[in-house]
Amino acid sequence: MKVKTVELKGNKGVLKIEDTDVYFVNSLRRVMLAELPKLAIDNVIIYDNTSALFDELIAHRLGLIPIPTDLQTLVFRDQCKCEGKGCPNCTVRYTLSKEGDCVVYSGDLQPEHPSFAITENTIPIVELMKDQRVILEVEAVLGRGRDHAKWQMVLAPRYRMETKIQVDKKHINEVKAFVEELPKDLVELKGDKLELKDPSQKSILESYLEKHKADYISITKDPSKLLFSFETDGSMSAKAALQESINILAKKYEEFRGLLKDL
Amino acid sequence: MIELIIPVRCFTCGKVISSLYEEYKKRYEMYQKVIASGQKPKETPKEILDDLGVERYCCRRMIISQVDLLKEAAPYE
Amino acid sequence: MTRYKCGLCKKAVQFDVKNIGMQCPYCGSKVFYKERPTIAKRIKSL
Repeated sequence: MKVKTVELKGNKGVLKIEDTDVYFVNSLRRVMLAELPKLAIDNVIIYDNTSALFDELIAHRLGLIPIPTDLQTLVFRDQCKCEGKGCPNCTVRYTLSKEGDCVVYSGDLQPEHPSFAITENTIPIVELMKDQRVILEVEAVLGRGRDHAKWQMVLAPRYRMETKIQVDKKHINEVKAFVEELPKDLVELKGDKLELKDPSQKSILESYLEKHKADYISITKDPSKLLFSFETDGSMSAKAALQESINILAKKYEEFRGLLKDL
Repeated sequence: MIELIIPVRCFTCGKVISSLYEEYKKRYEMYQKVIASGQKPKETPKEILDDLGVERYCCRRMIISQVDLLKEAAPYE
Repeated sequence: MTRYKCGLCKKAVQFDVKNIGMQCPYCGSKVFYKERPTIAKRIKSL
């Protein structure tokens, strides 16, 4: 297998994986969606809420805020020594107290420890009018994407097979006429080969092929060459999320091998 | 229930879009003002969304189609 | 006796639960908000 990093900075990652199979990259994709742990607000203790939104709606909105997660220092609550009571090892607490006229932002959540301060701090939670107020306390715990989407760190992980556009040499004049019909800067005709200028525009070319019934041009996909791209919601960098999901996948394969040994 | 306030995340992919909405709204109002006065705007809504890094059309529809109604409901508890 | 807040004059009033046809003794309004209990409410974020 060959891996080339096209882009891996901030919240975005694009990898070019060659000499592999679709099922392998798909298993990585599924680990990213369902297995990668992340902090999210779970319990909300509301002391006062006279705003226009219901308590439950505010709790739901709070749950979706991305919280910077350090998996080295935190453990799952059901695996913690405190036996589910909630201690600093498994729980991060925030308090929020605000009175109108104002907008309550995610940055108004005051952490117990400054290292858990919320980075995405311009998410509006609720708008308060004069004499309205919100006082609440929240607990954030680790969770996995398979339990609730608020614990899903990686968004839109996807892969695309490399495509080749083949041209029938006998119909080269028809191909030339077809290329003339296409929008500018979509494809380039190099000798008897067609090349897409931007690989993500493939579907546009396909729609033109269908419209013109151009059966002298065929698109073939190569399942051993994949372009894998993903994004994170900001609670972890793309690089850290990728490394962490690969560790989880390796652990799963290791566990499976251990089970097979005993057969 | 009608969304009174911009949803925190995109319904389809989960990208946090609410933090970009206020900026979009500010720049969109600017665009509308310039259009109303008959001049050529500095940027179109498409360019604003591209600049904010909203790539996919699922996230774009979240921002474009939002109607703020919380102010209407705010007087009631 | 349950505590309510008048929807028009915002004054705190008390009524018996059995009472039918509530009316504010100050302004005569018939719209009331039930007062929020002072105990903290613990909910799950779903």
